[in-house]
Amino acid sequence: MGERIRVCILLEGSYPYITGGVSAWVQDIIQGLPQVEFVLMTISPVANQKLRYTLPVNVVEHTDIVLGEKHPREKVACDRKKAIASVMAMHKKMFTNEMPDLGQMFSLVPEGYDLTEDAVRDDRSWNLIIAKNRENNPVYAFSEYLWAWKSAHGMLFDAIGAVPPQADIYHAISTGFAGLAAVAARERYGKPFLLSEHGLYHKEREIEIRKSSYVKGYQRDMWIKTYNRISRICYGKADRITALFEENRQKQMELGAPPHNCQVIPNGIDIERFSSVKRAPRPGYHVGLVGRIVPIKDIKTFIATAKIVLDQMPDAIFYAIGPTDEDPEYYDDCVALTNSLKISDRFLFAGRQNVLEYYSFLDLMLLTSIREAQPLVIMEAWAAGVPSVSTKVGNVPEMLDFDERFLAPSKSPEKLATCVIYAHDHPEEMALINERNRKKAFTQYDKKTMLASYAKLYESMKDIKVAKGQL
Amino acid sequence: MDAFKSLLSRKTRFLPKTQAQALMALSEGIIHESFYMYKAVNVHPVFEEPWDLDEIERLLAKPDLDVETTILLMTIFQRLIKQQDKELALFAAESINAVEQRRMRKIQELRKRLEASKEAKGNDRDKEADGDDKGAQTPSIARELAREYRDLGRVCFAQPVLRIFYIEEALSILRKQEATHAPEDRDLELQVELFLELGRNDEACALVSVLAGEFPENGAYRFLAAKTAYARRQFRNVVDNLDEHEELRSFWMGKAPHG
Repeated sequence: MGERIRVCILLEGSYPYITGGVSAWVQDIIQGLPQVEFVLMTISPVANQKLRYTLPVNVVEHTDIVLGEKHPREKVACDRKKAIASVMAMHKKMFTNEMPDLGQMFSLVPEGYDLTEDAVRDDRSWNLIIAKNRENNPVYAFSEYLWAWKSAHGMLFDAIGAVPPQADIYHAISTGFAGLAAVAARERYGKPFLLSEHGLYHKEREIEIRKSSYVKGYQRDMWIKTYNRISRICYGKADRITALFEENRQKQMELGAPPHNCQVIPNGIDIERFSSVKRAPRPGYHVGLVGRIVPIKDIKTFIATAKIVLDQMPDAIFYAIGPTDEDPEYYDDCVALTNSLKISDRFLFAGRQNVLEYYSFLDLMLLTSIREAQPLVIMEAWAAGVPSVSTKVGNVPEMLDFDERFLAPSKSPEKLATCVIYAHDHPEEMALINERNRKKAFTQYDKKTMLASYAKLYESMKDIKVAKGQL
Repeated sequence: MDAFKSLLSRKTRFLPKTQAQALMALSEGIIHESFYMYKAVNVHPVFEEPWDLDEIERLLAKPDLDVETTILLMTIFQRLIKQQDKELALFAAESINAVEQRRMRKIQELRKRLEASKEAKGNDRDKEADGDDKGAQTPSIARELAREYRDLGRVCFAQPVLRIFYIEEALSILRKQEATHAPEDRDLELQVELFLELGRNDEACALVSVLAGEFPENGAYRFLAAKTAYARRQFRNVVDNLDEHEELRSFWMGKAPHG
């Protein structure tokens, strides 16, 4: 390996296949650090997904691991008895919330080896499965438990057995399977592991599982515990951990991340690009939402807010600016809602657009999302001179100085409408707030600062020596 | 207490979380009768604070959740969403979305089936095909779709804009259906309900008069007429239409049911 640092970015369910905040951030990091050579290791539910991003030239390799795919296990030699014993030992420690000896386990389970079948065939692990079923699920069919167990553990073994590309640093963008694969690489290759989280993976999965109607009660507990423990392992094994904001850093530490390894590196935007927008206000009051037309952005609440505002401010115009093709049925329903409310002439679905054009005349940015981490669109709007109103999600309340005049609970179009009308009715005050926000964007959310932080972090980590797992 | 001790010292340390699980565990001999009794009578109402999130989640995860229970859950979520605890608020918002999405998926499936059925009907007509008439399902699918929209509207009670939208969608489906198929009584009955949900009481009254006039002996229509009269604050008519519903009449008139 030459002078150039080689960083393996490990991702699950995002870049380069899915657009969104995390993916845009990864693209920014890669493009913004041309001096670094990047290799990607993606973990996917299916093979051959369509790339949604053009990979920058400094991405030199890309490995895609499909969870649940059959692996050529015969080709890899493994001392199955010892491997199973080490997995069992790890299992036992995980249930007592102790940090398992992963080094030994990874040294016994060779990369590329799939343990799932062995785990079922081995008497000791079979007995463990039966014991756990007795403890958690004795009144239901054993087959249900076994299939749930296989499904959960199969994916875990996939991540553990995955073969990551060689690199100086393993940078996982979440805990979960990507994080676990990074832990495996750290232990096998003796290279440092950097963990950067936007949201909190185990919390997001937990919410998904809890609301899911196809995961049964006791299986739900199993999945939630599994994700929690994976996060705990990742926090415990990562050599450095970054969060976007302090609240999340605290939550990482609550789950075992050592404080001295944790730091906050906020998101950043291209300040020059967005601050170069020449403001050209138009007659009327223009309110925009920049985001995909999908349920998580709660576009229906945006539409309901528009209806309430329009009843009082008929000169207002609303724009949903973002791709409509991710969930076409939801988009159709949103269009039907605007038609039914008879506001389709004042509510426009702009589709994927150059947002700079919109920032030149928007009077307000409205965000109705149910879940966000630290939304880039608010920073972009600020840099361009557009104030914002939002639901209280992720880091948004802190970004908006906990100012209740501009914050609303999720799914509350009435309160959002009140915020919009307040912003409309107080132009002088909004001008002052705008100025303050603009300064905040320049000082706290500059992409150059973010990139410099990561460049420094990579530089400081490249020489960290990690002891490989020993037999 | 002995029963509890023996429970904890057993090979399986399974603790049933619900009454149904406790009953199954009892019948399998996994738990003692006294533990079952304890579990069966110690019911914390889901609607009471402190919130029993496990129970709320258990209900939410049921795939075939009925409208009334869904409304109860949505009422809880509407309270949780305003909590200072961001994780609780997020859980509530995500849950509301999940409930809406689950119902929307059902609606989308029905929409597709309705389109397919209409298409099949068109093809059958073109070919003058006999026998298997897939298009004949159209009215029942449309009715089911309208009901789903009505239920979604009721579930979204806390978001008036969406509530009205969904109920109007239900009404529009029935109206479109009328253009090609003579409405059945149950369609008209559903329309009356939708008018009432939308506060269009005069239209509900006009329609229910037709139904109750045509079928004066039909108790369901008379009950609908009573509901319509109530919505219009015509209380004398409420009583007139409650003949068939002795218990309700007694309640209305201040006399305890059954004497």
